[in-house]
Amino acid sequence: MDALSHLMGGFAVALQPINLGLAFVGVLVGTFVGMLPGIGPINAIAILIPITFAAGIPPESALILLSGIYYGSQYGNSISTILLNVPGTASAVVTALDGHEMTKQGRGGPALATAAIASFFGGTISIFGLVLFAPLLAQWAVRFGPAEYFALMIFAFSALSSLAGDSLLRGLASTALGLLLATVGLDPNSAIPRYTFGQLKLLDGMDFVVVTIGLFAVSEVLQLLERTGAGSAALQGYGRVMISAREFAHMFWTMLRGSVLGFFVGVLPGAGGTIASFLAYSTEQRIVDREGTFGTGDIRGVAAPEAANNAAATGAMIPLLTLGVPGSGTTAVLLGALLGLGITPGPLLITEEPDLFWGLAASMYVGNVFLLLLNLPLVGVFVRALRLPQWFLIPGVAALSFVAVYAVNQSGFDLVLMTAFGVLGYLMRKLRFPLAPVILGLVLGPLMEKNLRRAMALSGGEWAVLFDSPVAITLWIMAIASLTIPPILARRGARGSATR
Amino acid sequence: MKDRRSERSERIAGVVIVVAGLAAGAEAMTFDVFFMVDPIGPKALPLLAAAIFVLAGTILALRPQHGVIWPERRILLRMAGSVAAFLAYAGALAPLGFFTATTAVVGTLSTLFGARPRYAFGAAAALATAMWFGFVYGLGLPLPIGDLWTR
Amino acid sequence: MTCRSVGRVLRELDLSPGLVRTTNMPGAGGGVAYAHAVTRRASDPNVLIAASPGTTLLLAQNIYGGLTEDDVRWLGAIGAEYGVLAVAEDAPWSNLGELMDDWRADPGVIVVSGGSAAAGQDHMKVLLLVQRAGIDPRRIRYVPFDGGGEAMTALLGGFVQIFSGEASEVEGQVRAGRMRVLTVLAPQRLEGFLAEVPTARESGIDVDWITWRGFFVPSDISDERYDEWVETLRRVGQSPEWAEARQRNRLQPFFLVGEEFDAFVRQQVLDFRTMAREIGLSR
Repeated sequence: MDALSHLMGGFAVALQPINLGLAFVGVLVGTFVGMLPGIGPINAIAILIPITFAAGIPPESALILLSGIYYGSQYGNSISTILLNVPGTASAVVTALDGHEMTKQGRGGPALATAAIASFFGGTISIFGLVLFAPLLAQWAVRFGPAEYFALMIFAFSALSSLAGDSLLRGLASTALGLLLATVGLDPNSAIPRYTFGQLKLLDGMDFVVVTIGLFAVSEVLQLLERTGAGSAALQGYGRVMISAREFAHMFWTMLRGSVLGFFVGVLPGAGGTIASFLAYSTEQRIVDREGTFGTGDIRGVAAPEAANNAAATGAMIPLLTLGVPGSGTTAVLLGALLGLGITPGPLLITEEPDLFWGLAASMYVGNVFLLLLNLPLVGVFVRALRLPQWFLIPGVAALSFVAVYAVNQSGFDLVLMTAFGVLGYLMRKLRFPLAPVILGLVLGPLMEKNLRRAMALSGGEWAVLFDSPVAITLWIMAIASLTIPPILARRGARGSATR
Repeated sequence: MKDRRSERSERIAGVVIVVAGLAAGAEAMTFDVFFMVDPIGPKALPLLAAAIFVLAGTILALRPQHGVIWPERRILLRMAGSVAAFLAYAGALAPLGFFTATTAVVGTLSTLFGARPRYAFGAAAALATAMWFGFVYGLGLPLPIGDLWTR
Repeated sequence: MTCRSVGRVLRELDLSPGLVRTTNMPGAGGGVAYAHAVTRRASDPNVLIAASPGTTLLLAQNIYGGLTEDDVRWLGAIGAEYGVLAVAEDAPWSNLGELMDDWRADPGVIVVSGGSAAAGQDHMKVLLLVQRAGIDPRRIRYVPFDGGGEAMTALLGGFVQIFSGEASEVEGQVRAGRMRVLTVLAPQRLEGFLAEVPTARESGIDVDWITWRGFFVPSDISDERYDEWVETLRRVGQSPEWAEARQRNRLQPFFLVGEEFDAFVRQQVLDFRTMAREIGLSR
């Protein structure tokens, strides 16, 4: 196997002491930067790029450092998501569903351990995928056109029924809110502004960070104020830190399925971790959630999106390096770094620069190992942070969130928007509207709309184009099945037993 | 739990959602273009979302399901106070600068969470200082110094 | 990126009296920074704002809430990229002329992809090109994608026939032999991997697409200060430090400062505005 020997060569690169050191530093810096709600690794990477240029270290070492930061920050983000319910990325919104519930039940430690283990699992599975299929997948990804993307989005939207909680109607309304927020800004297809009301600052659309920090973090502060005022404690202390062997067995297949799914979704240019984690969560909910415990602190509800997200990040290296398509803001910065280091993404990159490609793949794996080694011992420390007095912890987190929002556009206007979303989020919680579907609509809405419009523009208005390929038809069948089969099963189950 | 007052807020919410949906739909109808690169156009998705709003809002207004329990007035006032502090922060950041504004908002919020003002504002000032150094020097994120002090 | 590089060169050349503070002000494709410069910093002599054809395009579409190209003073540009049209390796056309013949015969069968929105840079360069070649720009089919990478992917997947983008975007695919560049929209042939590709001018179509990286300053500063800025930019643009930074950012040489640049920008906005009206985009 050619790829395997290349990968071995890659490990030889990644295991050089300097590269090991850089991977460790990257993961460490990334974890701490990622913990800051909504800040993300972009700033840290953008600062380190010129330093790596100046230091004159070889390109693969520079990339190892930068991707270490990327990985570390993803994990760091799940720490603040799970413990404090302030998701900084769309995929973390899914993790928050069960992760923060676990924290509320005093199981923050196991939730964090699960996130670390599932991430490691996702990284491991996807690295095998990379070795086995990389050149093949680069070909396959190119064939995935607008019609296929549209079908994938419809399939992804079927995740709504898992996110909506007990009322599909309210879930639909939340999604619609997300869709409307997604349309704000300049429409790329017709060059007209939508819902900007003459505000220049809205022309680029609603920023994801502003919406999530508002809906989740600010409304959380309001809710905590309410609870503290009513005299009940907010967050539980901590108990056990690690997960048990039984829990590991319990989530093993979930992690495996999530990793495989995440990897393939990640390979699609421009799709990425968000879709992967939404799909993994809803798929698992349908397959394994017989007792209806998803959304109430089920360990598998943390494992599925974390494994998928991490696997997708590895898979996304294929379109990034062979097509030059970044799947997220951070990979866009990585792409910029690549160009600056004199590396041109293209199909030849794997063959012409095997040291770089496989060195990076191997170092991503090494990064995952470091993440596990570094973070399992630290889980207890992070969880203990919850014992800080609430009057200090919550305002502190709020201040960090404000900086994140301000940093998006360097403007106070976004802070006003954020506060408005905070009040809205609080009202939605009171009226039992689920918040996660808003993010589903906000993130997937534009992808759905754009790809439908692209497909129709390409076909010249012929609707049949949407069902023109085997891949598209398969995705449609999966979408329809996932929308119709669970209710039928549920009805049958309800007839059998009287529970729920 | 289902007293009349709480059901009423669900009905009001339903009506608000319907109105929002109608407004969004009406605004979407103004997205007229003379030029378009695709046959679908910019109206379709907003109209779909607006229709869901109207439908969901109507059902909610006609058939409230859960009812809402609002916090008592004393707590509501405290929450309103924090919202006001956030808005003030948005406005004060540019003129007063990061340090002053952050100390004020974090201190206020800590007080609302029950800390003694002396501790609240002391901790807030320390936090603001630490954040300033962390963000400006650590992450290269420019934070406002404050127009009032630099003029 | 350009901004930070220029900031660093300013420091290296000791041209700046104090600390160079680069503030990233995204939003509305530069619109927020533009409005900021016009309204809040109108007389600040120490502020320099980066711009590109993205700025002039939005000005031409009147998207900046009534602000025009007259509301600032255009300083100069010190680097650029150039537009290219590329096709898949197995495409039937071997040069621009052949493509233009087919395009003229039936504009409806050829679809162009690009990484910018409708009426954005990748769309506009195609419109200008076909118009100069005598084809009705209203009949050109253009599909916008999220960035050049995705637009190229659509070309490689066979969903579109032409990719409109920038020279640096196509390098990897061209080197791999999966895409061919039919023309570069530059006044003269480019350095590097596209040196063999003829310009549109060589094919008899008089059009360039220069993605310049330049700067403007607020309008209310004194003429002396403006001249100082021009001088500073001239020294940066001609320094070896900048040449190195420019290459690292994959920019081609391009140098235009002062009044000439001002005239250049005004002409560009005018061209874009005419085209936007022609295709029915603006009223």
